[in-house]
Amino acid sequence: MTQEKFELEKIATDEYILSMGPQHPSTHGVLRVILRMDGEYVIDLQPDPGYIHSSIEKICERRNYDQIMPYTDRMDYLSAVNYNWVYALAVEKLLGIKVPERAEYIRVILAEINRIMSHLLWFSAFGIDMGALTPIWYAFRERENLITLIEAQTGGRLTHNALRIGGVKNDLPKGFIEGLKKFLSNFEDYIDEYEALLINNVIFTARTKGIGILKKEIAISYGMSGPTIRGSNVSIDLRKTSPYSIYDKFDFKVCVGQNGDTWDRCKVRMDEMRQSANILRQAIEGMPSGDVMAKVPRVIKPAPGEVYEKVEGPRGETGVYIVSDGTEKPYRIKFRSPSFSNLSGLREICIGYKIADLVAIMGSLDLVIPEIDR
Amino acid sequence: MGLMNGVDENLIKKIPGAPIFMTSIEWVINASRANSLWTVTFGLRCCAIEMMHTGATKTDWARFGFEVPAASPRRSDVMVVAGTVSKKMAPIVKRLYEQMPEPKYVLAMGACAISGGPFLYDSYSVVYGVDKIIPVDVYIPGCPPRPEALLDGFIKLQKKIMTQKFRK
Amino acid sequence: MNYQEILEKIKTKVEPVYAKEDLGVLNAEIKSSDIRTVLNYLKSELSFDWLSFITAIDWIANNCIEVVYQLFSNITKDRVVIRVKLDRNKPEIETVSDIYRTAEWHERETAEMFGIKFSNHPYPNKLLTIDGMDSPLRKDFKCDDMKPLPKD
Repeated sequence: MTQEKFELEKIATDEYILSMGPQHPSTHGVLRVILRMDGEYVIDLQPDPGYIHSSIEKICERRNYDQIMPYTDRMDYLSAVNYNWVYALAVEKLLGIKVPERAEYIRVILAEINRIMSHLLWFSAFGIDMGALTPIWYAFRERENLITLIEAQTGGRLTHNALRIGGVKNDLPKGFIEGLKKFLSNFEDYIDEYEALLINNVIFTARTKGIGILKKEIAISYGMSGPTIRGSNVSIDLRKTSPYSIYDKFDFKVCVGQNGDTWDRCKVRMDEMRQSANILRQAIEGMPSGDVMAKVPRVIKPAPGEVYEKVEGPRGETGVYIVSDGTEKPYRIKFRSPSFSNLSGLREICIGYKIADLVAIMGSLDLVIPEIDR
Repeated sequence: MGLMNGVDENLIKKIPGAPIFMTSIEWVINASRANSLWTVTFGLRCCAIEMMHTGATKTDWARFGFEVPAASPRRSDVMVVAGTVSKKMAPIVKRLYEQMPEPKYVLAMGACAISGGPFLYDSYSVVYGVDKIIPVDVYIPGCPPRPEALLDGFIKLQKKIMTQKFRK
Repeated sequence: MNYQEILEKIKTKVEPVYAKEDLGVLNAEIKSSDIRTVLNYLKSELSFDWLSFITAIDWIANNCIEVVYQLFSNITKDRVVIRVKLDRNKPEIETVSDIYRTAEWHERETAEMFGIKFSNHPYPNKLLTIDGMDSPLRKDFKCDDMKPLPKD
């Protein structure tokens, strides 16, 4: 029987506008992206944020300085301790208070636990976007262990309100350090297992290697920070370049990728979890005893002036800018969120790829939308 | 059958000696609706993460029947509004609610969806509670509510569905 | 470089209206027509390659709006803050989004929150607010259904 050769004629494609709407399972929040497509390829795109704008900056102008702390953890809810920390650092600089050393160690421990929790959630959500439904069960098991620990210290599972201006409210409870040591005893083996499960999987590497390459000059010009820029072989990590608190006492390395594609950004996050475990071990060893709270005046009224402080969060440079006019409420407060700048450069990375690649690239930027809209 | 949540013994009569039981049609329809609810994944803010935790390993909502998160509203029964609704998002919530087929139920999860939450005072862009736009069946308080609290809310919704009547 | 040296270098290009040091950081206020010259100079000659954010402050008592630019250098680890005061009734300034690409979105947000016009901006549309909320971060913004905090 002769086999006929079938030749597909070139199928003509049309240009059309597609709205990847606010309610979508893989936009990680309420983000609308307006796409101009030619067949299945993306020609142009324009993100449209603002669907969860809750006017936090206007609200904070009418609250006292210690009443603003709970609002700071509802912006980036996956790593609430980082926003608490940067706000506490800024107000302490305005007041001129020095935090006791034991409180600094506790702050570092809580922040690194939050970093691991945030990267574990990114790992599960990215797996679901790619169609892999197994990583969520493993990663959430680890997250539940960490949530139990951090809930014993702060009282909240997700919105911790962990820090106070001048230190930490309570000392670590009994059993915290033992629980943390037990968690860390086999954590690195689990990370190796998760890496082999998802990151080194054949389908995953085919979908992410060579996709969404971000060049170094574009990344710096767009103000991108965090693992997004470190995947492009740029070694900017605020814990090393402008160290704050006691990070200059710890020995850890800055993880960078080589090519700047989606796979490198994923590998950087897995390596960062290992470095965080390293920092946690060093912090447990070296923690001194002492007070956990400095002497703070009862009514916080900083002198007129302004300050800008920044820390390295799991997504990048997190900053807060406070202008004080001598009263109990700030005159102007602005939060600089890393996802805002990371999303603004999406156009440069995504043009020319298919829509399925767009989902992979947006997942690798690790956006949290309420942080963009505030 | 595996769906013995709050079952009233008077409604089911087992005929002795045979593997059949007698009950009312109402009970069968209500029970099949209540124990296989498909949710629209509508997590907006922090409460979405607690919703994910309710579906994960420690508190597992698949035991009660909510296994399938159908992402599209056209084939789902329950809309869980988890987070703040802003004025830009309000028309979209209404449109999604109208796209769901009857019978449909709404759960308001968290303080923001019940009344505006921490953004109630001094805010210019927040809708003060999602029940200003769509009718709500169960309110679950908390900021964010624990996974056990969300599960309790779902079980109350199941009990509410079991009391629905078909006769006038 | 400490802040005196940065100030001397800026003075070779434009004359700042006012300069002071606030908690170790140089704050230089310049005229609104000089903003592009200064930022071009800072980026190309003094290697300030990182613009953290652009925002504005509403000084209603002095009848002016002040636009603030926070700059940082990844190479020399210096910081500088550039400030421009604009008239509150008609605030207008040129865009810098071709010098620092991150300014595109920061300028859009500042424009809609304070009512500032950034001329020659490539895409001057609203970012976060909808029609009906005009310049919400100004101190005299009124909204009908805004509930004030009850006094307890």
